[in-house]
Amino acid sequence: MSKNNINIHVHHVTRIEGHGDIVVDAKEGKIEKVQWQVPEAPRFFEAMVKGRHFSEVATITSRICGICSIGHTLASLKATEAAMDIKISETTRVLRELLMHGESLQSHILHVCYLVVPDLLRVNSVLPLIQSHTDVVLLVTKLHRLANELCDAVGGRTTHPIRARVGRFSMLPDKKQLAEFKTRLVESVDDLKKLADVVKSLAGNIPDFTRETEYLSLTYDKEYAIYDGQCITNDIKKPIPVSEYKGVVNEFVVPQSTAKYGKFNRASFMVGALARYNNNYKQLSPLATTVANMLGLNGVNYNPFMNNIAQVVESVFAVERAIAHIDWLLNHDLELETPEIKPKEGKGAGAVEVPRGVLFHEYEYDSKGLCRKANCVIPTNLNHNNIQLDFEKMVPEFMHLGEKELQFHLEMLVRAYDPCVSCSTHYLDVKLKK
Amino acid sequence: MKRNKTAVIGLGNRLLSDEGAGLYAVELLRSKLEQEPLDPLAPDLVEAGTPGMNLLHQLDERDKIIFIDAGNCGIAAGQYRRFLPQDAVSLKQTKNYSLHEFDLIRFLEIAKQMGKTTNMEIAVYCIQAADMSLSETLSPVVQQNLPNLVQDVYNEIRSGN
Repeated sequence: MSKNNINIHVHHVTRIEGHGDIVVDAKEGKIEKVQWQVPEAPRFFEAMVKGRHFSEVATITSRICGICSIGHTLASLKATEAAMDIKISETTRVLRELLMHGESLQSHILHVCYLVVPDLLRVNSVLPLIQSHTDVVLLVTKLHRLANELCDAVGGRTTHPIRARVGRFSMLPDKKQLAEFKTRLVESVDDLKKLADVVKSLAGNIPDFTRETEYLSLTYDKEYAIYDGQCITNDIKKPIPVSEYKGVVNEFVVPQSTAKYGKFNRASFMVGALARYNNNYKQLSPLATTVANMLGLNGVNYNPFMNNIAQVVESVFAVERAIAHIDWLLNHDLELETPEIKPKEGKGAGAVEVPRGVLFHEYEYDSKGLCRKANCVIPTNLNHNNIQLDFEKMVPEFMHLGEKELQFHLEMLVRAYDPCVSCSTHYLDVKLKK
Repeated sequence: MKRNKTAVIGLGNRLLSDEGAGLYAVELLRSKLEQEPLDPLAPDLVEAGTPGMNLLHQLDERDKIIFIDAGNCGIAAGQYRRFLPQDAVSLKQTKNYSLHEFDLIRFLEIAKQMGKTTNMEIAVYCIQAADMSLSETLSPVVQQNLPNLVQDVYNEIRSGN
């Protein structure tokens, strides 16, 4: 086939969560169609929580995702607490942040090592690496296990935590257990450095592609934002409160996708590790900054493939912050809290930075604490539009490589975003013509 | 947290009828063991669900693992077999690695390549599913035979085999 004729129909992209398709058609060098399509069915979580008691909502919406279920739980709890004006203690906040860092480590390690590294080595999956890079795979499983068990110890389960409740934790990890985790986390820093060396050795295989876009994340004056913060992009100077998130994400629907798209000041924006890094890199810890520089992240970067490098950097940051949070917990008296929570009519939004980007939950409750209305805006949703526009720039730049190579690079780009497509398929607000 | 050297791991999904048999079996075994005096050497009982590659983490620091899973092992519905991983061949068709592509036999082959199961004793109890439709209850034949499977697992633990 001539390199001027391209006919790519990938049904479905592998090594991502959920289903997404790539369609590229070109004839005689003229590009006729370039699409990133999301064909998954909507999942109606917002409808499921209507009429549910506020104490049940996070348990249900946590099931939106099996990877960032902790982030969904915490965004949900924050939204409920905002709606009912519920304050949390410092201990609860620290435990929640510890959970977030456990989840970041777990998800980033899984994505970069199991799903992205095969692209950098041009193999179909992680399976061939078990024989060719056994030590690295064992290192990865060790880090992954540590992250999972940390989430388990704090949240009561590896995924879908049961101890994080509205206004409190229902059970606390004991200090002996926390001290053991601190030891393992400190030891894991060396493992992460080894992993960073491996990624550095492969960094030359990261495609040379840039497209400057708007980068949306939370930002927080006290630290690199993961749990707390307000909305920020590189196109605005003043952060926007989470309660005004709808004016930031501006969701809309397109015919090619069951997932909603988003945009703000430009045609699209990007969320995720690279967006967080671009907006907040000056607040990273020294070791995370060193690893970033070692891997070629030296400030704002417009290559979407570098999202995976930012994930490695955030893995280091997650371990450092987790150690700091455990230190805090070890140095304070931990007592189970049983705050009296009275339902209150109201509406509130909550946001956290999950591995794939900023996640928003918003609920409206009646005076009995029953949910009247819910809205969940998932980061993978927010990236679909940016992936589409990346495709539109990438196809003309890479089509000279031929159909096979172009397809490989497009699939690799999708995976670089770490999409979690099942989560992102969203209730469609449409009007039927008939 | 220190692990016990032996583990019984149930696999499956409770929302798909018999597909959840491994989880129900672990639940039955737990009830049985709880009726006995506390035994520090009792196996860890793990309802692993559908863990994908996370199951690798359960292999560390173990001497023996008994897996319980529902499946198609070519026998009558509700019957079950105990076998060793090397005595079975996976017929599951997979294309590329994905978090959703997983089966126990192939997983154990991978774990072996990684050196994760060296010197470990592994047994698999597979019960033949009759119904894999959306339901939170087991089919009558699986429900009827599952206690027998659990008794065999219990005997195996207690005999130290």
